Order: sequence, then C-alpha cells, then structure tokens
Amino acid sequence: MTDTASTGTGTAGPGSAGTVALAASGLTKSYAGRLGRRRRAGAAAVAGVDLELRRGAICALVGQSGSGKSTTARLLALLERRDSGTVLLDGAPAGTSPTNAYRRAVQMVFQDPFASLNPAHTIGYHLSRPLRVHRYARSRAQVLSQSVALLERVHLRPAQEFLGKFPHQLSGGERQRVAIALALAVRPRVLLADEPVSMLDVSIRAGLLNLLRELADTQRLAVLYITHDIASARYFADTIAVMYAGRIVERGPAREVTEHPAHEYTRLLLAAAPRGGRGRDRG
Amino acid sequence: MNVLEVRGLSVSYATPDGPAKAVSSVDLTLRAGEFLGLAGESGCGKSTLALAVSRLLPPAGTVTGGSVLFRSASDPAQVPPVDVLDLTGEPLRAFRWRQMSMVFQSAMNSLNPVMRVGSQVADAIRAHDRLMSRAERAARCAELLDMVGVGSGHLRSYPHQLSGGMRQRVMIAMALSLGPQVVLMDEPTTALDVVVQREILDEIRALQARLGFAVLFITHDLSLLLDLADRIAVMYAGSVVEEAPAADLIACAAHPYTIGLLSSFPAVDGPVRELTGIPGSPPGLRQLPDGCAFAPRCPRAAADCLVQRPLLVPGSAPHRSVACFHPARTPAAEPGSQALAPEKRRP
Amino acid sequence: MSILAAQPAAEAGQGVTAGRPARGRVRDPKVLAGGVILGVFVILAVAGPYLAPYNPSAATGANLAAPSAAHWLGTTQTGQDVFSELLAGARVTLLVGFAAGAIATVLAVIVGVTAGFVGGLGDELLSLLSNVFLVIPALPLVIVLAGYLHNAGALAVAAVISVTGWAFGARVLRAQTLSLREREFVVAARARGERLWRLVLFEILPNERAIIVSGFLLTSVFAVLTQASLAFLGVGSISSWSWGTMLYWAQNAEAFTIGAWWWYVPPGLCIGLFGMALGLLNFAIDEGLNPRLRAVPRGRKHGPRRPVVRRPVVQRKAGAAR
Repeated sequence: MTDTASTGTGTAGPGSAGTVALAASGLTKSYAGRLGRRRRAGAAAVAGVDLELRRGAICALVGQSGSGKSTTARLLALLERRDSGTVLLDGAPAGTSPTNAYRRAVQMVFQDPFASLNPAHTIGYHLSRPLRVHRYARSRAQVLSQSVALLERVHLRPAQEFLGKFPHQLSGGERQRVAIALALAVRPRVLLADEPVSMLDVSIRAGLLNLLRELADTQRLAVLYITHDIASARYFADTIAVMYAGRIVERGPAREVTEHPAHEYTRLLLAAAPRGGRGRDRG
Repeated sequence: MNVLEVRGLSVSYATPDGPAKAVSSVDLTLRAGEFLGLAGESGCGKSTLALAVSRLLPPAGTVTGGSVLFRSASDPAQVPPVDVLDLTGEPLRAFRWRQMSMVFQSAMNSLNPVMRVGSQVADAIRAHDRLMSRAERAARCAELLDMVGVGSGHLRSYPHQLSGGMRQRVMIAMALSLGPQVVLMDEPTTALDVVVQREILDEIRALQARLGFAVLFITHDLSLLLDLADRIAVMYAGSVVEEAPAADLIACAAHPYTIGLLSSFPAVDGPVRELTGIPGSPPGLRQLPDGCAFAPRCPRAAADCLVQRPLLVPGSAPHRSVACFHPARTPAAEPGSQALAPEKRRP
Repeated sequence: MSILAAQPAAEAGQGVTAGRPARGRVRDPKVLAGGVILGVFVILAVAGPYLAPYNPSAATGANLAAPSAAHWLGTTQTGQDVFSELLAGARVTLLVGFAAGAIATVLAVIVGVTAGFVGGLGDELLSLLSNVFLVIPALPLVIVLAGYLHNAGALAVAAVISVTGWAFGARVLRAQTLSLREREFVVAARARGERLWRLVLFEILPNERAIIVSGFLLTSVFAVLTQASLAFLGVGSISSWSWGTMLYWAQNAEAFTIGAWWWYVPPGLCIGLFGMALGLLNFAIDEGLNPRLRAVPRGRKHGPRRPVVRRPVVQRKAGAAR
C-alpha cells in the first residue's frame, strides 16, 4: 500500500476516481423471531439489494426507519452475516466475516455521536488505537503526528488541544468529526456513513456534510450516505437510491431522482421534506 | 388575546464552578390558538426555558428573575393573570395539565413499558381530574386515541407494540386529555424520521384548528417552523434575538443569526447552491462575551457590537422585534432560500 | 424522565471546561466524614499494636473494671485491657475485611465480565456457577469451611469469606457487561480490528470502574460483618485478636447480662462505624460517576424564586471571564 508514512495522509488501493470500489448484489438478511427453541420466520430486513459505490462519489441511500438501510450498511461492512448475495471489494469477492484487510478498506461512521466514543478515554487514545492496531504508527511521536494530521483533516483545530479531551467535553458535531477521523485513521477506500448528521443540529449539518464531500473528492473515497432526509441527499450526493421495505425502489442521479421522481414512495419522501416555507397553506 | 406572557425570565444553573446563566431576560408572548415556534441551536437555553415555564426545572436550576403570566381564554377580562412561577401545591396541580401541558423530546420513551397504553393515558387524567368516573375516563381515552390517529383499538396495547411515531402520538393524546389552553412541545419529533415527523406535525396543526389550544413549539430545526408556525422566535445564547410572523421571517429575516440559520439547510425544491451553515460554535454559558453574544460569528459585526449587548426592540414592521444593532433591512442577497416561490399545495 | 434532566444539564455544561469529575476536591461532608473515619481505622490497623498501652492478652488489672484513667475502656473478666484489645483487633479485622473484599471482587470481575462478554454456553455455565453460590446460605457455608481451618490465619479466613461474597458482584458485572457489549463504541472498536482481550480490558472494564469499586467497598463491609459473626460464634481462629473475637469473649463471659458495656459496645461500635465509613465513601463514587448527583450548593431550592437584584444588561465588567 502506498502511503505517506510520516503524516498518513495518502489513500491506498487501486483505482482512480470513478472505479467501483464496493459492489453488492442480491444482499438478503432476515432476522428470525425466536420463541423458546423454535425459530419462526421473520420479515426480511433486506431483500435483494444491489449497490455500487464508486471512488470519489457519494451515493445516498434514502428511506425511513425500518426500511433496512442501516442493516444494508452493516451487511456491507460485514458486521452482520448476510443470508445470501455477494459483496465485491475492488472486484474481489468477500466472505461473510471481515478480514483485517477488509476492515482496513471499509469503515463505518455511526449515527449517534454520543455513543460511538468510549467515555472513559481521551480523543488521543481513541485515535491511537487504529493507528497502532494496523501498524501505521509505531512510536509515540508517529502516533502523535498522525493523530494531529487526522484531526486537521476533519477541521478540528487546534488539534493538540482536542487530543487531551474526553468525549463529554466535545459537542455533538465535534464528536462526529472525531468519529470520521477515526474511520479515516484506518485509511479506508470506502466510508459508510449511517445517518451521520441526524442527531446533530440543523445548523451544523451542512459543515459535516461538506466535510464528507471534501473527503470524497480529495481522498477518492467511495462514500455511502444513509439518511432519511432526501433534501440533504439532493445537495450532497451524486446518486440516490431510495429504499423501502428492504428493497431499492428507485435509483439514479441525485438531481434526476428528486426533480422527476418515478416511484410513489420517492414522491412521498419529497413531499415530507422541508420546503423553506413554500409549502404553507396560509398566506 | 395573550394566553401566556413571559416577561424578563432569567434562569441560571448552579454548577460546581459557579452559576451558569442559561436564560437571560427572555420576553415571549403566546396568543390563544397560536402556533409559536422557538428555534435555536443546542445549548441556547430553549429547553431550559420550557422547563422553567412548566415548573419542571431540576434542583440545580433557579429562576433568578422575571414572570410567566397565564391568562385563561375562558376567564372574564377582569380576572388578573396568574404568575405561574408563584403557584405552589394544589393550585399548581390544578394548573398543570388542565391549563398547560407538555410534550418533551423522546417522550415516547417515557411510556412505562409494562403498562398498557390506555391505562397510562387514564392515569394522566386521573392524576389531575378526580371527578371523572371510570367509565367516563375510558371513553375519554378512546376518544383521545382516535383523535390523534392511533385508534382506540390500541387501548390495550403495550408501548413496544407501537412504532415511535405512534408512541409520540400517545404522548400528545395524554397532553391534550384535559383540554389545556397551552401545550408546550420541546423537540417532540426530533427522534423520528422525516415522513413520520411531517405526519405528526400536520396532526398537531389539525388538532389545534379543532380544539383551539396554543402551542409553543421548541426545536432546533427552523425548517419545520417555516412551514408550520404562525410566529417564530429565534433564540441564541440564552436570549431571544428575533421574533416575527413566519411569512415575514421567510421573506425578510433581520438578524444575521436568523439569516445564517435560514441558509444552512437545503430546501428540497430550491436551487442547488453551496451551503455553509454558520462558522464557529455558540459560546459556553459561562463564557458569554461582552456585548452581543453572536458578534464573534457575525458577518455584519461592527465595533459597537462588541461593547454593548443589544436588547430586543420592535423592528421596522409591526409584530416584529429584533435584538441587533445592524439588522438586515432588505432581503438577503443569497438566491434560493429567501426568494419567494409560487405557493405549492402540499399533497 | 431522566433524559429531561440530562438535557438542560448538557446545555449548561456546554462550553464549560469541566474536566474529569473532581478527584482532589472533596466537597461533600458525607465523603469527608467517611474518609476521616476510615483513615482513623487504617492508622489504628497499622499502628495499633504499637500504640496499645498494654499487651492485650496479658492480665493487667482488676477484673471487669469500668473505664478509668488507667484503663480507658476498662478491663475484661480476666483483667485484659479492652482498649488495647480494640487497637490490636483493628488490624486483623481490617485485614480480613479488605482482603476478602479484594479477592471477592477479583473473582466477581473474572466471572461476571467473562460471562457477559462471551455469551452462549460459557455464559450459561458461569451464570450457573454464580447462581449456585448466590443461593447457598452464606453463613452456614462459611462455618463449614472455617471448621476445617483450626487456628488458621486471617488470610485463610478472608479466602473463605470471599467464597460466599463474590457471586452478587458477578451477577451485577455480567449485566453491565452485557449492556456495554452492544454499545456502539465497542462495536466500532471491534470494527476497527481491536482484539478481544483489549476490548474487555480497555473498552469495557474502564466503564465499569465505578461498579467494581463500589462492589469492593460493600463486599468489604460484608466481610467484616461475616468475620465478626464467625468469631462471635466461636468458629475459626480465636487466638488472634479481632473485634469479633472480643465480642465472642464478651458473650462468653456474659458481659451483656452483667452490664459490662465497655467490653462489647466499643467493638460493636467500631464495626458499625467502619461499615458506615465505607458506605459514605460509596457516595463519592456515585457522584463521581453521575454529575447530576453532585451536591448542589445549599439555598438553591425548587419553588418560589428568591428575589435577586436585576443587573443592567448593558455593560459587562471589563475582565469578565471569556
């Protein structure tokens, strides 16, 4: 893997912008209900989903709660075993549980900024772990310089100050940036962001989504942006896939899908999105 | 008529490092049957304001000044308004839920998981109205659940059998059970996804039209209020910085913070342009700067903004007030978010 | 509605540079009291035998003498000085108490955290083990085991006591670990490739510190009481002095009926004070963990507000904290 060892800013892996980094087809997962020892068939959370994530592009997966989008992300990250379907990382098929190489290539950012960081450890400790586990840094000096570089990459300044802080001393937006930095520390090719801004104030969402956009562009990351807010998908994503009841019901370029929705459910999502006051009934 | 008047309310918290001023001298007026939206980022004091008005502050919080005057819409004009902050004991209990009720964020998680939904609503009624018979209560619960769209068939359901949106509707039903004049809602839909959120908000407006109660709706998401509220107040660092009818705010916001908020979320049908949000972050409650609290982040800040704190004063148009020395007087130059587009009927 | 309380507290805390819960600054009088009492006992335990005016086993004075200048707490039936016995006994009592607490806590951590973390068959087996030990009546079991330890040392007694005291802590830790295991930061750490042993030691255990320490304190109290009970019943070693042994001899000599209060009240009182001290210290842990429980300055009451001079909002004093 090529990288700039001193600062850890390089991205690794084959392919320029536009190549398919992660491709999934026929993903299926159902959660069986269990009463006593007998297993009852449960509803399929994900039923035959196909997805393609290209480097340097943001694909938005839009749907309500219960549509299966989070489960899809977990299946893509191999955090859950899929029932059937294939996952190809840079063309190579992946098994049902993640190898170290897969973990290095595919990383996930979670929804809840308050839950994704261990309250007992400093930010510096959090950042040092992936660097050490994957042997990107061996000495304390290397860990320090790479941690600082990571925090700068997510625009947390002054970086040195943040290293010594605990999660409860940071705001929600700052925590989410740390979570992104942690994902970047592993030097992934694919970033799966599961509703990364849903729990943040509306006024700071733009900043974080702009950061994701910037990372996709400059680091050639393939980003999957999961959300229930189709308005933000329209602004930040290149392609949109609309998910309902475990299936993808519509997909296409972001502008196209939002301006000329084909499926009824897409129209429902668009109708529910904020219209900036233009949807008022009264004058 | 004004059913709730908050005048000069200030609240501070006792913390190990000294008092922190969460709310500074806030004035708000809520008219009967009105939907007043209160918008602001996390930490601006809006939840504290809600707790202070509903007398639910935790022990560390104290009201350090101001009054909350309540005037019932059914009272004759001669009856003087009641200061909610002075109520104690039985009058407070009688006031709560019958005159003013609340729905809080994640209230759907406040339902007792081992009790049926119907009995929880009945409990709420029984706590504040001893005179209803059991049969009347049951009938009222069924009526309430039908009214909010959950359906009386769910009277005997447990909370885990209902979705998040349904549970929140149950909480709204509970809040409306005794026909209050004012309902305080603090981020009632934040934990729900956008479709359910829209449904519930439409439901609230429909109920409001039918029952005539006033709503104080607190949220960090200004975009919701733009579509729903009659009037909007914007809060920053513990005080109200702008207050205006919603249509006026959309057309011509005056305070730079409001303008910043308006341009930080994408409307689904506006032109696509760069969204920046507001750079920086709100000040900590103990590190409030001298002068205007927003000045460090304000693109229009001038020297006088750093020295003196602007007070909320009536603006150029009626029913508008703004706390700024250099408010914008014409529509902002940014295209899209503030341009007037033809009215669209919601499907 | 605990979320409600957290929200405004979070708002109030935002921007406030509160670091870790204050460790060095002890504000709460309860914690101070507990710490002082415990400190006194520890000093007694360490220096007691040297400070004792008399040899506790030697017959020094009049039998059953009431407290006087020569014998601060009087004498026993055989003329031994009660005060010296108390000082000497502190060492064994505290040693047994803390040793048993420590052993039981280590056992509880090993069994409980493992059970909670591995799940499946391992969890079932370990849970079965803890359930068995929970159900067996503690005192009879200890008596039986101690019966094999004639004149055994304090540590052996501590080991025996810890056999009965670890199971409750194990159950609590298992439940806590089960809940922590599913927390997002653990899942995220696993997704980043952390090894299992690191997950347990560095991700999960640090979040259970408060429960573990609290368990240790409470188990120590339990151990001291059990040891006193054992000694009182004449089981185990009665040749070394401990507070429990004093009670045994006092009861043996029917001190209760003849009213020799100076013999049985001091050791009983010391045991009680020791338990109280550890209980008070427990508050410190609770408050350290949960900022909402921190002592609120007096005078802040919920209800009618106190009149406050309204400060003009126009100008702030120069040099106000930024």
